[in-house]
Amino acid sequence: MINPNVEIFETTLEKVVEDIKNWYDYKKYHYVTINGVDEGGKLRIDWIFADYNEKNKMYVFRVTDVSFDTLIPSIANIIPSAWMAEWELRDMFDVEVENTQKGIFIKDPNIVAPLRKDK
Amino acid sequence: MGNKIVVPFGSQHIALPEPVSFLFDTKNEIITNVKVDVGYVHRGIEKAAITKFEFTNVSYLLTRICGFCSITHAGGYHHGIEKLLDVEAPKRAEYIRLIITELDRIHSHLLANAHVAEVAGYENLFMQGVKDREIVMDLLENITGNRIQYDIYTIGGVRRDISKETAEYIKKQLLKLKDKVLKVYDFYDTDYTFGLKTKGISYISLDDAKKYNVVGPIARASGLATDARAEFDYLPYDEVGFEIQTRTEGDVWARNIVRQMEVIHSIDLILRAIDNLPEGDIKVKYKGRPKGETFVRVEAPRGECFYYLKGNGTKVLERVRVRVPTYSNIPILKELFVGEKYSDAQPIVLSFDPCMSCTAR
Amino acid sequence: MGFFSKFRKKSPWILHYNTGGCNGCDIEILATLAPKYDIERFGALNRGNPKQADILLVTGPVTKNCRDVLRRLYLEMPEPKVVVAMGACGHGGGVFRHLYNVENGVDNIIPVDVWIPGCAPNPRALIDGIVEAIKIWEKKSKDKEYMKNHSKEMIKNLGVNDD
Repeated sequence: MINPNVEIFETTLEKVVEDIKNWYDYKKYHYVTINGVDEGGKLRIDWIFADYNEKNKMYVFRVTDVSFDTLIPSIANIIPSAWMAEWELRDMFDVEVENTQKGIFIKDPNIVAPLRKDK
Repeated sequence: MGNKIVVPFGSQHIALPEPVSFLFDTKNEIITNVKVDVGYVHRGIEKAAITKFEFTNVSYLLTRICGFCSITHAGGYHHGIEKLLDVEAPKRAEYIRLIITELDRIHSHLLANAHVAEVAGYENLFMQGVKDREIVMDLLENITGNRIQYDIYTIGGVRRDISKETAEYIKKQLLKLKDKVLKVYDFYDTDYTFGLKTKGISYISLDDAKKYNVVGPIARASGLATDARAEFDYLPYDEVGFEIQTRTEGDVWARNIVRQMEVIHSIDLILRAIDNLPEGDIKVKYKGRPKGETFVRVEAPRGECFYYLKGNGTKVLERVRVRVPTYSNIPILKELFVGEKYSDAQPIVLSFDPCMSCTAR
Repeated sequence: MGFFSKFRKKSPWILHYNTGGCNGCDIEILATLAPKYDIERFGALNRGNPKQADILLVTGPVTKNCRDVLRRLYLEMPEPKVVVAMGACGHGGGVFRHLYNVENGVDNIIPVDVWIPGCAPNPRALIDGIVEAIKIWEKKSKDKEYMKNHSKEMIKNLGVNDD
């Protein structure tokens, strides 16, 4: 059976970019993805990282209770490959993310926020 | 000097098996800017996995994300759901899973290499590569009953056992394949004109590979030793002696060589796994419903595939998140084109072995 | 037997387009072009140009983003043309039926002549489908024969009668 060793850093939306900036070292850690979960009207966002050297180790920066109309900060200037996950987050949950555009995956204007439970 | 010309590549193109579209701004055949559209294949699988399917059936949907790495998606999902259900698959099942996963990797890598050879102008080499690949497809059909979508994973084990005769047959065929692969490897390694077309094209340095979080054979061709098989315990890779294969050149040629080296290493892994196949059951029963959350990393042929599963104690899961290897390689692919010749665009795209149906899901 | 239909059936060129399937069918198409199954026996070649193609080989359930491309490819092909839908998801969507970004099958967009079932279809099934498509295409080709008056000498040399 798999046994992931996940370390979760709880943080807030205002501080998350600075926390990641202070902690992240591209030589040691490996950015995996950004994940959003709808928890009944509120969004939970995870910034997920993995370790190059330590086995089974993963790190998660977690922000809970994000309402759908707040602006989510972008980490694309710290991690240049993060823009894709941010664009996808915007399409899937219809939330505003800094420096993103709509329509990477969903081009039909009739489809709005498929992963939100209230839509 | 020179006019700006916009050249489209895709969504329908002879070199592309899947729809993806690039718009190249070119000046004197040198690419100055790229626009990429990866969304053609978006179907909405993550939504369907949490609304339309029960957790016992989600696997059949998730394996249809991609035909090349169907076994990886089955693996990512089943390792996660077994953690949530607290089921431990028997040792024999784990070994059979390993064998199928590696066979899948071999056929995917052989096709990817053949494809690069084809767009570099070696149609004969393409035919050679795909012909060798048929040996593996034959083996997969023999073990699982299907050539592409195997669906051999089930919760708590595997569907089919490997009999003694099949094991012997696999060994015989793989030794035959190894000879053929080594011959082609020699060609990739030493041929002068193939080198002219591939060496030094689209170079990624080790530092860039780390900054852009490149995964899979593309990262390993730049000397970045990252491999989920070594970084995450999901199948008994330690017991069969897995080693990471790397090169340091970081160009189209090195990516081909890394894939070819991995094919040879995978053959070795399968031979060792078959020799040490443990006795016992292939399946255990499970009870209950998935509850809690888990993170899984598995190694697809193209690199690290990430799964996030969340269950809430009912039959339907609450969240399934799939992050596939090509998804994290697209950002650097977009940067790489600038400054290269348009005629090299096809080998560059195909050396990344892009899997769009994975990326857009 | 007409002048064009006699020779046209020797080289049915294929245009392949994936409309959002899992690309399992597409790798089977590549395998069918390769030595073991060798669809070139029937004169079929995979060509990326719709203007030169005779058979449109469509895989996948047709996503909303691919819909217009597929329609355009179909319209750009010259008459006579045959459409082959490959794989379970081409037949009404398969496992992807009724997902929010899916159009439920190829025949919702363009008319289909041959269906190849399976997920993914075996190369042998694909060859069977292509042979079937060539037959239909030959029939369509006869109906659409437009050049009637070739020179007598040419007809004599070729050994075919004009229709």
